[in-house]
Amino acid sequence: MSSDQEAMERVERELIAALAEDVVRAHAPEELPLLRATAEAYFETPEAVLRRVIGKDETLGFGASDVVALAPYALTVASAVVTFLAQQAIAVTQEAGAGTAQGLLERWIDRLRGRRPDDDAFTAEQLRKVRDVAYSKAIQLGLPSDEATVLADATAGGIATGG
Amino acid sequence: MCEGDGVAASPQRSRRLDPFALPSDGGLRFGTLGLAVAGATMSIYGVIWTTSDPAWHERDQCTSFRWDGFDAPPSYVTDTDCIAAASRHTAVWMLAGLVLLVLVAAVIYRSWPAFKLRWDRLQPLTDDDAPGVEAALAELAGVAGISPSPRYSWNPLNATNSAVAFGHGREHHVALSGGLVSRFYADRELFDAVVLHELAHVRNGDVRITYATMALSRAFVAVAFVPIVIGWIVPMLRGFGMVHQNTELPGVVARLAVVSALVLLMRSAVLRARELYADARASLSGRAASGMRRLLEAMPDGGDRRWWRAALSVHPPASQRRRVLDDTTALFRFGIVEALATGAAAGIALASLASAFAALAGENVGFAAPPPSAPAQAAAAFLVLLPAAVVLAIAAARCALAKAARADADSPLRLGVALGAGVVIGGDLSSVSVGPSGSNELFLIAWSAALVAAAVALAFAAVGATLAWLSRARGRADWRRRIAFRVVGSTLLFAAAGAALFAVGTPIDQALADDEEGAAIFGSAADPLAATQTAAADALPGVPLRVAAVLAFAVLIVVAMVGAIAARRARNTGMPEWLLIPDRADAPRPRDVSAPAAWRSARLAGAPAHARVWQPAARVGELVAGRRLMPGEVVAAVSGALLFGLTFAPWYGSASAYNSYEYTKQTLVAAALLPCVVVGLRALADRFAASRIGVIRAAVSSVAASRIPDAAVAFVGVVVIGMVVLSPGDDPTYVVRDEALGFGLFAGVAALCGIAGGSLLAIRQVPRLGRARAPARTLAASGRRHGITRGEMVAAFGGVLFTAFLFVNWYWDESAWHSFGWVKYPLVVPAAVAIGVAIPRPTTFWVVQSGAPAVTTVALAASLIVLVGVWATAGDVGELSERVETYLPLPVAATGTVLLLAFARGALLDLVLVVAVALAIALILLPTGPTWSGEQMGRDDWSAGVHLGLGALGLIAVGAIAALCERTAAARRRRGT
Repeated sequence: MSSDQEAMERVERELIAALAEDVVRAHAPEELPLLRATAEAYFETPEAVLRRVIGKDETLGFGASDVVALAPYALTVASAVVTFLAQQAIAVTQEAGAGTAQGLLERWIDRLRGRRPDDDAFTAEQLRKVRDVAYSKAIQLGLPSDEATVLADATAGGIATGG
Repeated sequence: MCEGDGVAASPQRSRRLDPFALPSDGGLRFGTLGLAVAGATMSIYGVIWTTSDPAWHERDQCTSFRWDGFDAPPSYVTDTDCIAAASRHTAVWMLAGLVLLVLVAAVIYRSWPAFKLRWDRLQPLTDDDAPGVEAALAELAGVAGISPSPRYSWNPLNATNSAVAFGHGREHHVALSGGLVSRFYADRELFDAVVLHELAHVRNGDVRITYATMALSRAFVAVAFVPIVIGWIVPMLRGFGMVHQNTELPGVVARLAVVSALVLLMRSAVLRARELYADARASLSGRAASGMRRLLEAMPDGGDRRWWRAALSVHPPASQRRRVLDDTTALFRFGIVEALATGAAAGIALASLASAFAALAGENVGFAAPPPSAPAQAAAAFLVLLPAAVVLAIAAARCALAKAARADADSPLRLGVALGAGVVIGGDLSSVSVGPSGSNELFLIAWSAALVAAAVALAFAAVGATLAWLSRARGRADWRRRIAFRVVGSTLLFAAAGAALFAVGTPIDQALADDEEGAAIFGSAADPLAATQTAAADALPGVPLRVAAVLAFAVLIVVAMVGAIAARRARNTGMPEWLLIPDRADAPRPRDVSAPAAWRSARLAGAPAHARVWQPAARVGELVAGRRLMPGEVVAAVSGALLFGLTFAPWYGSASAYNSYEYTKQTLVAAALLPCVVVGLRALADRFAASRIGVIRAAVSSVAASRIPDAAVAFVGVVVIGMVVLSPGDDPTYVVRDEALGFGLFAGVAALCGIAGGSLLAIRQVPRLGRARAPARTLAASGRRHGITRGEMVAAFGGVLFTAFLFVNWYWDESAWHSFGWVKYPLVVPAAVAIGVAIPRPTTFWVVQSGAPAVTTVALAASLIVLVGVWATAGDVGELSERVETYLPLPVAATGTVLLLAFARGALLDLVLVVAVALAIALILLPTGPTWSGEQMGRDDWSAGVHLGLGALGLIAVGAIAALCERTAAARRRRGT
């Protein structure tokens, strides 16, 4: 992996963590103490969120299977959104012929962190696409429609408002 | 009140029973499962070896053909030393299979935690990852009383609210989901509840034994199940050698499939029970109780799951778990299905171990080999029945406490019957036959009944010991000490009695088989009876062994009776303090355990039982008391039963159609005589003791009260007996009539006296007894109560009429040959009618009442079709027997499933009908074969007649039991209890 790719990946992860943190802070603040460890585990094996490893009827388990944590889902949805944004960034920079996708993503991160004025605001169309991506991913994760809507709105809202 | 002061005061009545005050049966049930798995594996490796080329050639060399000239029949000579060597090779394979199983299981067990940690991506739970959680977990371990604390891990990406305990040896792990850890910050009560539930598994000792059993099961699949299935379905394995007698393999595989399913179901059942125990343990802590309640209320119930999902699930429905939080008596129950499964597991293990012991001793083992010797069977039986006995004793003791406290619990009778039946069924499921082979049905039935009786006696002994010592114990330790001797003694006695049964069963069965075979070979040319009786006497087990068996039984029954009497004396004792959990005040009140009225009647019949315990003896006593029978009448009834048995036995054992003909009539006369004597005595006693109403007046009032059916019953009785005794018909060919006639005259005259007296009594008693006492009306009402349709009633009535018609034909037939043919038909027809009536009922019951068990229904129907197909296409009786032996497990399993369900749901009538189906199928179809001819009566046909007669008797017996139970239920309803 080249250094550019590594840098891009680092930036993407930072953006994912920032997005997820916004969502968790808004909707499940009690999970904030666990978010760092959860994010580390997620980046190590992103596909693991799709596996419910401690199931409903596991031997000597408790027998419950209701989903109560938001962070893993927020991370996964944020990841899908960031992938989408990265593709958009590459397209934008190639079209403009100036700057890099990585730089654009870093500016978005600064926006999310509140370190940058609102000079790169997303259009309504872009936000709608982001929300669609987030909603599709949430449904793919098996969340009910209402919960997927909340998660998608929160993710798109985080991008729109910059946290 | 200080601990152990005995009777619980009223405030205690609302408290829960402490399920941990008494030992639990969970570990031993797992142990029985392990034995079954080990036994099945050894059996499979024995099969693998004996069907291989080397084994085949080795055995082939052990037998040589000897021809002694034209004057003597050719014969085969077997080298016993050679056979012994071959058998030892089989034993080596069996032991190798066992060793392999244990090794693989040990590897799985040992490596499972590491595998799980890796597979589930679990990582150590540190304070950096989840601040504050580590300290809270340490505190909870202290609350649960666990030291050292287990190792905690978590998967942050698992968003569910769950946890799981696992580990091996003393190394315990508790894995938490990320969702659960997040509850630590949001809802501490829920977090504590789930964690304490998992810690309860650790505290209850579930982790070690559960994962050990699962490792054994997985190893079984890998080293036994897969190889035998591959050996069956892949004939290319000729190179490996499993080529000989492959026709046997389908049967082995079918049995194996049933065994595997049984093991799986048992494992799930035990795990479900352990979950309830964990809930109960966790709820002992006030911190977890409300959290658990909230969690369980939010959880989908799961009670509407498909039956097979429910059966395989390792967690009970949430509603059941919630109930345990209020009332722990569910943990004191032990259902008949569990008892039957435990018995079946023991039976499977027993047969396999016996085969292994026999192989080690150099006995001939393998396909078509005789059953293991008596010592091998006895040793295996003792080893296997001991843990099964402990399970039964603990279960019966706990059920007794639950029953005495407040709950409905299965009776020791049902538990004992189920466990005993399970042992018989399990032995049959195994590919090795132990005990009687079924060549003599009467002995097989008696043998099985003895085994069941021993189990019942053990259960009663355990109940007695439990209740008798309950009030005297000053604490749980003291209680255990006090009860230990009696329960341990009873279990040892049961194991000894069972071992003795298995030791004597096969030789006697063999002797009886030789008897029949000898008679068939020699025919009437010699005196087969004397010859075969001598042979049978030689083959019988030694006197000391037989005496020991009888002694073991006698002592066991005496212990059971003493225990039951002691339990009765302690019936007013409430729950001692140490048996109650000092917490809740909203649980149901315990039942009053004061002496019920039923006990008095049970005592009349000498039934030594605790009155709250359901048992036939008590019910018989109740009926006796209700009808105010006198002791003399009871004696007469018992004598009549003995007379019937004595007449029936020689009929059954008779080697010729001629003698059978005589005995048949005598048996029928004796059967008719039995009720007549009882009723006649009753009439005389009543007439002389309390003559309050004139006979003629009573008759008139009876007719006026429309008691015509009763009069008709009495009339038919008179006519039938009169026909049998007074008009025996023309002299049949070859039959010595004098003896039979003399006996028949004597019996018939006595019977007529009895009938006359009974009829008078019936008429006389009608006004006092009321409508419900009329037999015909009672029968009709009972039918309506149990939902028997009119069509079914008509079918049954038609069958009776047709039977009567055939009976008359039989009676008037001139020839013994023809007469013998006729006697088959009257016995076949009721059985056929029973089948016609019975098959739709359990099927309907199954489909309508139990949810949607379409698969099982189809399986049952398919198995019956297969069975009939096998019967119909077999070329001769030998082929039929061979096929039936191969395919029998299928219908047995399917029928057994339906039967179990009916039994478990208390649908007694359905149970009876299903039993009738099973009996009819087994006794009519299987031994008869397609070549049955009414005119050409050879030995096989005679044998078929015997089977049919037994089938009819079985139907009569189960019908009588059903009637008894129905009457008891009706009496109970009348009393309003």
